[in-house]
Amino acid sequence: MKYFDYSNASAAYVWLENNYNMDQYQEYTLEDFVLDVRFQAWVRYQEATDAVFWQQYIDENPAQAKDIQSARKLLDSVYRHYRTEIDEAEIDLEIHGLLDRMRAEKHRLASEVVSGSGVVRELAVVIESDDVRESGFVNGSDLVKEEPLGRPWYAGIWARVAACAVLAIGLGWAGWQYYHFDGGYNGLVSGKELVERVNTSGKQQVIRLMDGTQVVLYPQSRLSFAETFPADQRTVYLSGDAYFQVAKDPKRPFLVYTTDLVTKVLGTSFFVRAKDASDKTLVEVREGKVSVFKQQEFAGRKNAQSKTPNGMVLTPNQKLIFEHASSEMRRTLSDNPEIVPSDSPKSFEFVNTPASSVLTDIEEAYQIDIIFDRDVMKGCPVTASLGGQPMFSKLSILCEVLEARYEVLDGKIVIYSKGCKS
Amino acid sequence: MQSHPENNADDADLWKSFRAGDDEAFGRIARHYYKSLFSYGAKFSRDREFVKDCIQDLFMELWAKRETIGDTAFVKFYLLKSLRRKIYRESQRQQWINEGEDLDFSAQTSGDASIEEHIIEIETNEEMLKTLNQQINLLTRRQQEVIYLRFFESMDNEAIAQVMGISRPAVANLLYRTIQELKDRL
Repeated sequence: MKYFDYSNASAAYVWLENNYNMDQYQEYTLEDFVLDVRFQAWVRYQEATDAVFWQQYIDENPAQAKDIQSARKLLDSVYRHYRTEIDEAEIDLEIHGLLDRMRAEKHRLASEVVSGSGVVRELAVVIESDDVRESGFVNGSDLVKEEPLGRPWYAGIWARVAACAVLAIGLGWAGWQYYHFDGGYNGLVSGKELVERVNTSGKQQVIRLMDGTQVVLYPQSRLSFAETFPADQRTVYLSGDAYFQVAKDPKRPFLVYTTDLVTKVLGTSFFVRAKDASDKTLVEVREGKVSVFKQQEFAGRKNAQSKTPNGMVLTPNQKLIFEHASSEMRRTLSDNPEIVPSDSPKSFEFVNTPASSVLTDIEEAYQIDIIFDRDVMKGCPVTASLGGQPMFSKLSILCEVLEARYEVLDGKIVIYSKGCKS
Repeated sequence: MQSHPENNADDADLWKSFRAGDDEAFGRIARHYYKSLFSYGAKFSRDREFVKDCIQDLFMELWAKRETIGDTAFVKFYLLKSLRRKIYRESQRQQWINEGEDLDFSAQTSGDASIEEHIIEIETNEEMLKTLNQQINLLTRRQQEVIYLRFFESMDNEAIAQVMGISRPAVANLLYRTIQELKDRL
């Protein structure tokens, strides 16, 4: 095996914008291109300036075109192979959690210095806007106040999932008088020792509960929970909209109480829409599994943990709609189902693939049940490039090719087909 | 679309402010490197939450130790190396790794082929891509880690050698061998 030390060459790869000399590539082979930082950036980020540069280079050096194309393919396949999906909101959530932790740590150290072994409340309150103060919730003794450290640096980046005014109050009856709720949420939380977060801002707020669960609380929504969760379960009460990313803890189910429903989870992320005034409640699952119960039925059970759930089970990309008027739970699919993260993602590239395999791929990727006649579909070859399309577009394209149609029924997809023309 | 890596001068300044106790700088460092760290970490464990926890702990430790750590001109390199060590230690503690061997880089072979539009633009032969994808899966975990660090983090062989704890010639050799193996599949 020939031995190459590329590290000498790499010294020349220092990133100097617009300082590249086309001549330096004259002697390059496929391997050199693959290892060249500028070349890598072109394949990876697809930026226009790079594209212009390389196109020009290829035009002027046609002899190297083949090596360049091969190097590009090689790199491209590596970039595709190792791409890790994490969206910006998820990162923001983590960074916010991190800074919370860091500030709590600072706070803890500070109060240890001041008060020796003083008890430290986990729920720090950040008050940033004056309207919170004016609103009259602030009631000295119930609050731990942490002065903001100037203008928070993340105010800009953080806008999408921002916590601008996070408010925690110990719930006393007096506090409740303020809200004048008519039943629902109010009834649920009254008389319980709870902490409440209210989002009076126009932006989403992130709340990190003691068990590690993260909640994105939407504007005009409120969430109540015990300051410390008991050993057997984690219960929160919601009015409004929230997205939950529940920390795994198999021994302590996580329960979300809304006006009429109880949503029970073990570790998952899901969305609940439960406006008190609204005529319906929505629960939507992104990852994992939840079961949803009508509150009356749930309360009727002696022990929420031991019996098998008799509510409605939701799996990823399913959505439950509860109509308050009819008191009926209906299961359907999310408006835009998302691919569930997996170890072996699908390419959705099909060349003469039996339609049954295509459907199975979609089924697995979105973890949605698709009902179809396997024998009929086996005989239909499909050639299509369905990557990057929303799921319902994938189905529409597929159905068009197959002269079939689909229907969403009870959170599943049913394909109607007469088979295909041979 | 991801952004180009920033240059080291900014890194060094940010790092200095952070060491002086500036939490703004700390947050920016964390935000700036999060994606890289997560992507790298996710190659060792398929448990996303575990990787996130490791990264959080890494940053918390970093914050706690800020006054005693040295000036680091290469922040990313320092962080990747620390994360690798952390995941290794945590995994061992949780006994997720067999016989205390080195980390398994291919724990999460994503092989993600969900195709973005810009990739479709490239005139690729799907069959060939599939073969290449399989070929990457056949590489040893060290080979995979070398090309990852080189292609995704644009690290030079010296830095890769330090992160992985092997010699520089070994990195160069691995890299050369790996590229040849992939090239043969083209």
